[in-house]
Amino acid sequence: MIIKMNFSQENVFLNVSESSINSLLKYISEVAVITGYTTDAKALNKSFIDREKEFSTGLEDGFAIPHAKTAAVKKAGFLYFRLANPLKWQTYDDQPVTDVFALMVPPQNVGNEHLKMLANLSTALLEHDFKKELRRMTNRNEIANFINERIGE
Amino acid sequence: MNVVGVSACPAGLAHTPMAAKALEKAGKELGWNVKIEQQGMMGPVNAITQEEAKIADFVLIASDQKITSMERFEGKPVIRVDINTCIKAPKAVLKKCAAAIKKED
Repeated sequence: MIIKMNFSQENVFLNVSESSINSLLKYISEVAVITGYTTDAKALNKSFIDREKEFSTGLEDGFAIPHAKTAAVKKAGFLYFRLANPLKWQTYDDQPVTDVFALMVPPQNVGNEHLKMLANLSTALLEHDFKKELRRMTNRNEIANFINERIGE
Repeated sequence: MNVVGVSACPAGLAHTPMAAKALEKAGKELGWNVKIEQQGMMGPVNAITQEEAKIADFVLIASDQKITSMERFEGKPVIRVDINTCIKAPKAVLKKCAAAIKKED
């Protein structure tokens, strides 16, 4: 299945320095305004926090996937953040988090191709190779191309 | 072993496909037939048919959510497991479920 999507380097943020999950989620919500995912950073932030409270979105190998499902989201998609300092986060392997994919969807009328892309990203995070290769990259454009290639199948 | 199941999470976005893929992959490694239906935002993905349900040794529900079409699984042992546990340790989950079924027989 070919998915027409373009995860561009404008959605990649390296060397992000935040001292807590809450400050990171706030930063993500502000960035989401600039990148056109929302016009309401506050509502988006609340949705991220509410979901995180329900159960941690920490995975393993230093990855976390906070997500927001709210009408404040204008287009479905995701952002990638690489942290300058590992963040303490509840994860499967009790390791701190260094890499964050923030997933955003409106509650309704989401095209299946967008949902499929988010599902592909999530399942890619089960693959050791994907995480290892991604981590090795330091160039925003290279990272964006790699993600496109791997989840657009 | 023939295993069918359903995964579902609150947003129906990420953990639902992750759990399904993790369990199916673990099943392959064990040499079992494992098929997990995803009940997420896209609606049912990889749906379990009545026939598949009929030959299953047990039904694994990877969720604490309400699951639709449970009547397919009538008469089958149904085991509910936390979805995060299924992603974290899918092989251990499958083995434990199989052991629990055996005990009941």
